[in-house]
Amino acid sequence: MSAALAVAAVCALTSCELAAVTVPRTEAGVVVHAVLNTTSMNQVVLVERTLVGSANIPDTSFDSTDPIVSAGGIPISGATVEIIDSLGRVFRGVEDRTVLTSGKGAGVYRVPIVGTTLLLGTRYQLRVRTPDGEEVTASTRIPRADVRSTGGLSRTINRDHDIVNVQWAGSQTARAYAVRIESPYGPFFLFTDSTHVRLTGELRNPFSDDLQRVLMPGFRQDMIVAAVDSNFYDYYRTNNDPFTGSGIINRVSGGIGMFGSFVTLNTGTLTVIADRTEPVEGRYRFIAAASSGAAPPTTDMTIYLESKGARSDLPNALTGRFTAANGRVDGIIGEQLGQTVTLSLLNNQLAGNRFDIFTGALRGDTLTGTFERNGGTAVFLRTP
Amino acid sequence: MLQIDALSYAELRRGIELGYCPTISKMVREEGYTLRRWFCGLPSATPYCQAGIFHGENEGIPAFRFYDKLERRVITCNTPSGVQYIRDRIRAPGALAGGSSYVNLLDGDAQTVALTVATRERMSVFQRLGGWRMAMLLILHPIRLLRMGLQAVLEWLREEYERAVGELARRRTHSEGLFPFIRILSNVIVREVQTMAILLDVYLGVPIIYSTFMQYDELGHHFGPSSFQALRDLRRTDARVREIRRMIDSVGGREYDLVLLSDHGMTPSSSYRVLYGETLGKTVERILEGDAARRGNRALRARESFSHTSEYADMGPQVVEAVAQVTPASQRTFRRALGHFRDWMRSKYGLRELILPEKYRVEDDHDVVVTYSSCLALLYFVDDTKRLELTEIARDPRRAHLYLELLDHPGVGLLGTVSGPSVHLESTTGRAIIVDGRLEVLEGRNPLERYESSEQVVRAVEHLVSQSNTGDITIFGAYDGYEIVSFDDQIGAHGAAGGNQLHPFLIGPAYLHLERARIDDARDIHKTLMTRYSTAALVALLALAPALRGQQPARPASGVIAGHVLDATTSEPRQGTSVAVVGTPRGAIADANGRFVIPDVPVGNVVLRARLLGYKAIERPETVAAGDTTRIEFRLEPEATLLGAVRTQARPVERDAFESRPSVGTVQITARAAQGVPKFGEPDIIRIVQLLPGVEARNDFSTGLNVRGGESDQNLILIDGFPIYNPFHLGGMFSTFIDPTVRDVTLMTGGFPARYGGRLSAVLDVHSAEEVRGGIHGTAELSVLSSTGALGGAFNHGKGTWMIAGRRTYADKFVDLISTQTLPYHFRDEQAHVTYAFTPATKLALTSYDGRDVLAANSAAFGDSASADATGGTFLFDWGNSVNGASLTHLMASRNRGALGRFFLGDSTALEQRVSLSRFSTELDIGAGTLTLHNHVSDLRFAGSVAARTASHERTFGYDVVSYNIQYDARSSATEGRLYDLRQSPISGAAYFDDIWRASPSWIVESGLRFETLSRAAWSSVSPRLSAKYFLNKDFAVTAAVGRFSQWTHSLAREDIPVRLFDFWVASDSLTPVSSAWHYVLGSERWLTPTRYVRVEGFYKRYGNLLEGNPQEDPARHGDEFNVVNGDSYGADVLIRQFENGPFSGWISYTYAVAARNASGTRYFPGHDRRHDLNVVASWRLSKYLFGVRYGYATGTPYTDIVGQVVRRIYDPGLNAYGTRGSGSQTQFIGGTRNGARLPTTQRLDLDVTRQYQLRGMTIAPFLSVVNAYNAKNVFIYIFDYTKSPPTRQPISQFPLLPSAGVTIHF
Repeated sequence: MSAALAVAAVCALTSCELAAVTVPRTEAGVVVHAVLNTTSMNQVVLVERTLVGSANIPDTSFDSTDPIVSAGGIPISGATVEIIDSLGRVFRGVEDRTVLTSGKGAGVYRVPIVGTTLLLGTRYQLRVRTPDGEEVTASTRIPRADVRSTGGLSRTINRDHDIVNVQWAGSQTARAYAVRIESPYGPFFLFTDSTHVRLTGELRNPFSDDLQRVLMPGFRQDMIVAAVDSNFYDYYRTNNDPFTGSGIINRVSGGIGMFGSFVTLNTGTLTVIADRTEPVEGRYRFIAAASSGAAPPTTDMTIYLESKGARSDLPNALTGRFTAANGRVDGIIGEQLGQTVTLSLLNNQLAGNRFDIFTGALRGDTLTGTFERNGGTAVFLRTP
Repeated sequence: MLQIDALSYAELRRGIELGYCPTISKMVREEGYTLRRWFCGLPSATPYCQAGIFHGENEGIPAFRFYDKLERRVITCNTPSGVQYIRDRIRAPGALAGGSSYVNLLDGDAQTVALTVATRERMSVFQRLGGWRMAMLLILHPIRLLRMGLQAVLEWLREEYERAVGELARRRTHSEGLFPFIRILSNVIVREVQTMAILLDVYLGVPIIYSTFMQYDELGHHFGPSSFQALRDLRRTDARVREIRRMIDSVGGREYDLVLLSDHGMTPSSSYRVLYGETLGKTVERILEGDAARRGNRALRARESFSHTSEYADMGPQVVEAVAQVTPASQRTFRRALGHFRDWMRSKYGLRELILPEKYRVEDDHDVVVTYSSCLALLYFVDDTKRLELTEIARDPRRAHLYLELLDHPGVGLLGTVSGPSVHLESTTGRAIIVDGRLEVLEGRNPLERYESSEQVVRAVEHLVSQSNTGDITIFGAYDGYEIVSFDDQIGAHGAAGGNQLHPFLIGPAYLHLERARIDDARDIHKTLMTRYSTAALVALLALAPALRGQQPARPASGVIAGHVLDATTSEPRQGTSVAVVGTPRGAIADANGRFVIPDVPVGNVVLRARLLGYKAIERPETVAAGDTTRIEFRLEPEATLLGAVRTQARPVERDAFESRPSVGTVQITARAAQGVPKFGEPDIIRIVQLLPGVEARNDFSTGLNVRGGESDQNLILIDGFPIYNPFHLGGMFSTFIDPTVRDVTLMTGGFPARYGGRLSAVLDVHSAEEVRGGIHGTAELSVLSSTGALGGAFNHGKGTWMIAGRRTYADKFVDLISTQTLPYHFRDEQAHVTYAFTPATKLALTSYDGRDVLAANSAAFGDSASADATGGTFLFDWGNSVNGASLTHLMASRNRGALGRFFLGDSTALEQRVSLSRFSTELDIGAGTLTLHNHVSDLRFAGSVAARTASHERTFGYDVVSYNIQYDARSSATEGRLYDLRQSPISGAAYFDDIWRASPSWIVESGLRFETLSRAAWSSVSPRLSAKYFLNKDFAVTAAVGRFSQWTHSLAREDIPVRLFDFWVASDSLTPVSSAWHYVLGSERWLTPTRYVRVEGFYKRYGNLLEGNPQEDPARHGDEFNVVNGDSYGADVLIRQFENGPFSGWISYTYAVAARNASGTRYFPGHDRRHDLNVVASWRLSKYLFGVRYGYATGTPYTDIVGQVVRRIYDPGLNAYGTRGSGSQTQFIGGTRNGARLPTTQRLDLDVTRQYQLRGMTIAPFLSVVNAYNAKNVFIYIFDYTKSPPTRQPISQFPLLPSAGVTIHF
């Protein structure tokens, strides 16, 4: 990372880009991503090609049903994907493209192995044969975990005071333990050799663009702790550096990628709150519509001051949650500059997936404003 | 001994102050020569003084002209017969026996004489002029002959011009008719010839030489002692002195003491004739005639008996006439032309302006004879053959009348007569007697009051007046305290008392202690000074006897010379200064503290010469006592920084290193050499080092040094001898060394001696500057990137020096001022350097440096979203060095040591003890503790050495013990987790022995052994080092070196990353091996001129256990941080260097190098494998401008070609999907064959111009630099894009055209 930063720094200061030239296409390889997950209904294997200039890759928005194509990949359709367990049983995958009516899901192969039936502590093999005759193989040994549970991590966390103190039972065959917390700016995850972790409210997400905090007041953030094998661990802790194109630990024969194991040890949801000391903080209830129009998308919002602006002329950051008319609870991110408050109502608690935007003015306990998409002016009253 | 005739002490000082005597000034002000005033006695005239100096006997010479009553003849010393008269009466042996006498009145019994008026043995005119010796000198030196011709013409033109100007200005100039020719003769021809003769004598080793430069005397008489003409002419005499000194330097085995002196001084004067319309003789005649009118025939008779023509007046026409006569009759036209020229000359110069010839023809019928010598006149009553006393004069009314008339004459200031055992002095204001040196005023005021009535003058007057052949009446011209009346037509006079005429100067080497001698007369010069050399000459002759007998003389006793060398303006020690004992093979090179020790110096008088490139050479005489240490301090004067036509012949220190040690692969760059090299933003010494042979820079963004195929972490980088781990800022774009604090750097590219260890490739030693001037002085540098300030000074009478400096970039502040955006990066450096000499032999030096790079910001500050600004977290990259070190050095004198003691301690010993604490730390904090990477290296080092020097060996025994404390960890306070934690605390120990052995005039061998051990790694090794130099001739040598080197602190860097912010360091232990390398170097060095040389060296290096960072290291495992590789490198480099002794300087360096590595059976070329690298660096000083240019051409370095991209999918276990919930995906490159491709060649032209201004004691030097002046498109890296069809490759350039400017202010 420091090397990349150094290059970026010096280039920004003193370099300039010269005219680009074309280079010859190279031979494409096979890329495989596969994780055996003990909690999933089936096992997903992505099979695609390396990018070698054989096609222009369009810049499209991500579609979870078509994860390869919508995320800049070249899928390999028609491949034979097989997972063989330690007993020699062979499970063949089916490409989503062939079963989904939308025709999406090229290169996404689902192997019909229910996670709970995976044999912990045993070795599984992956074999992929492309239509062009290329064969890729890999193997993984699923960590054995004697104690597994779900929901055990759920708790309410006051970010200002509490520490997320999580412990789990160890697994002798796990290479490491993975801890993952979903957040509006992307997941936070870490590997550890320890069987416990203590997370403070100050924790920042180094994988997010702007190093946002992991725990956001008002949000309900899923947390998962799992034991992983060495393939999973090594693949995700290493990177190819931009100068040499090497660095990733690749244990897939005949291609690039990863065939790993992920054994969930515990899950839960962290309900994050914080002290409410600033005027803008509080629970706002819809009291009236100031003008005719559709009903507001929410009648109940809880707002927290996430952090203050760096300067007085910069806005404060707000977070929170809202309850939709249908009872769905989701997250809010927003900002406050003076009396002006702007709130983004999110889908799936993802900062990049906005459901509606409220813009209003805060006067005393009254927040008056309009929703961009769903209605006219609404008045909210802050209650303790 | 060089005599400058008639130059008084005061006028010499004036000439020095006015800059007319630079050489003499340098001798006196810088080289320890003693300048003193002395008292020459009376008469203050050359014959009296020179007789005293040469023979210690000057009785009977009462004036330049005097009368011999017995022989009834006037003795005048500007005729050979007159001087011979004096010479014949001198019985004492002369001090110049065995030596040479040039342009003197007397010969001093010299063996060789030329242009000397009188000798003990009679000589022909031809012989007096020098005979065939001088003729051959002239004939065999056509250049000098031509120069003489040109100078003669110029001198004549100058005389004509000055005369014309003088006449127009109605100035009192008195040009004798022949004076222009006399002037040419004396100022050009005589001076040139006598200089040649002296040079020849020096070359031949004549034991004593005495020569008089009489030009000042001539001009002083005619234009005045303080006149522009007279003082300006000193410059030419001074140049001759310099020429003679240079000859003394350039010939070996000639240990001359150079003494400069004058025989007497000169006082401004007015012509008696001009003032009173008649000569003194005429006045006497008139008085006597008046008296005769009253007394009839009983009156005394006198007749003005001078010749109306100068004896020289017709010499020129006569010479021309002689030439015409010897011209064949057939050449009538030529003879006619000569005839016309003769007539013209006679008409123009013959009697045009009459100057009284100062001489009398004595006739038998004269009763009174007056002789006058400038401001001294002697009146003889020749009707009585004996010396008359005052009573006898008074008894005769005629004489009394004359006495009283003269006494009343305003042009006469003093009359002296003999009165019994006393001397009687009388003026119009009073009278006094002198008895045994005591003056008693009898009536009125002291008559000597205006002339000076010191004890010396009183005794001198008594001596003068009481001499047997002094006139019956001694007459001093009237003196008003400034001008004295001269009885000759002269503007400057001497002979009597009053003013500066009695006070000449004397300059001699300090060890002669001339300042202590009491000199009340010229005879005392003979007694205190001349006898020393007459004895020496005798000894020299005697010394030949054993050789003549074929016997081996006994080995003379020896002493030691020790001292230090400082910059005269900054008082910084000047490492690398060559200090040599002139004429012997003894010498030494000053160390980092400016200290030097020269053992085994023959006892007696020696001359030391200190030389350093960029400084004026200094020579200083010293006296060495047997078994003792002579301590000395040299203060070198920097050469002017912006020179025009001035050239210095100072030898570069490399030349001395070339002659004194193998110095394989060693180059030194001084701050002066760095001045003209174009800058990127601001001066940076490391960037200049990159331009040296054997050194390759990876790219424009790196100040890392890849030396002869080695990695950049393999260099031992020292600041004042203390290690510094990562001396770079911003990924290597700038070094940590603050420009004003750098005195010089020394780079050793291979085969370095045993005292250096712990690194594989090279040693770079940066030496701090020191400010030795009192008060506070400083430097401020403002550039587009940073501001730098340095302050320093000396304290406690120069025993101590201090300097502090600081630098900070301010681009971040500037952006804050003009923009809402941020540039969250700056670096700063602080440095302090203090020295203190407790005694001349014991010195403490302290160095402290601290520097940090800080890259700290809120990461969201770069985002587009306002809300993200608030939610964004901070990151901090903070890294830097600190060095604190102290060194104590002590020089020990030679003692009577036994064989064992002599082996270990030598004739002289230098002890040094050092202690230092060097630290380098990095702190990467991403997200306020979420992820913290930390690396800390501390290096607590104790080191010491004992250097024992003998005539042929310089043995050094040394040790160093280093306690390391290394932490390398990754942790997260937000998760309270520790991802990685490595702590090491090894201790390394080393003991070494190094011996520089001057085996023979042709061989210098440096051998050494270094024993090293490292705890925790259970490793130890003995590393041999050997280098040798064989001289094919004095300018051409072949060198070779071999050695083994080890390294146990390693950077986690990888060679294939083109740039990095900093290094992480870890040490070898049981899992991480110690790296090793063997160097083999073979080369040659040839000096083309004293300031230009060519060096060619080939090298082969073989590496074992090289370590490179493992990008796949597992934080949970210790021992996999590195991949172990082996390798080798080979090649050759060439350096052609022109040193900074003139307007042009610079170097051309070319390096051919092949570096290869083997990893897991695969051979590849590392990223710094640059095959060809050419650099041309030149600077040109033109008046106040300094122009610099640098051109570089280099072939490309390897890189790994990118052959594709891979999309890494981020798994979402909750959804059993990839790339969901904002986890995205990453596209990463796939590399091909490691370093299988090469970047294209690079080239770059940098230009720089600096202008220097002087303002109120400050030097202001703004500069403008342009990097990559023609904007060459040099590729730094390629960015590939395989998401397109066809795929593309976009180059990112290195430095484009980058202008920068700044200003440096010195005060």
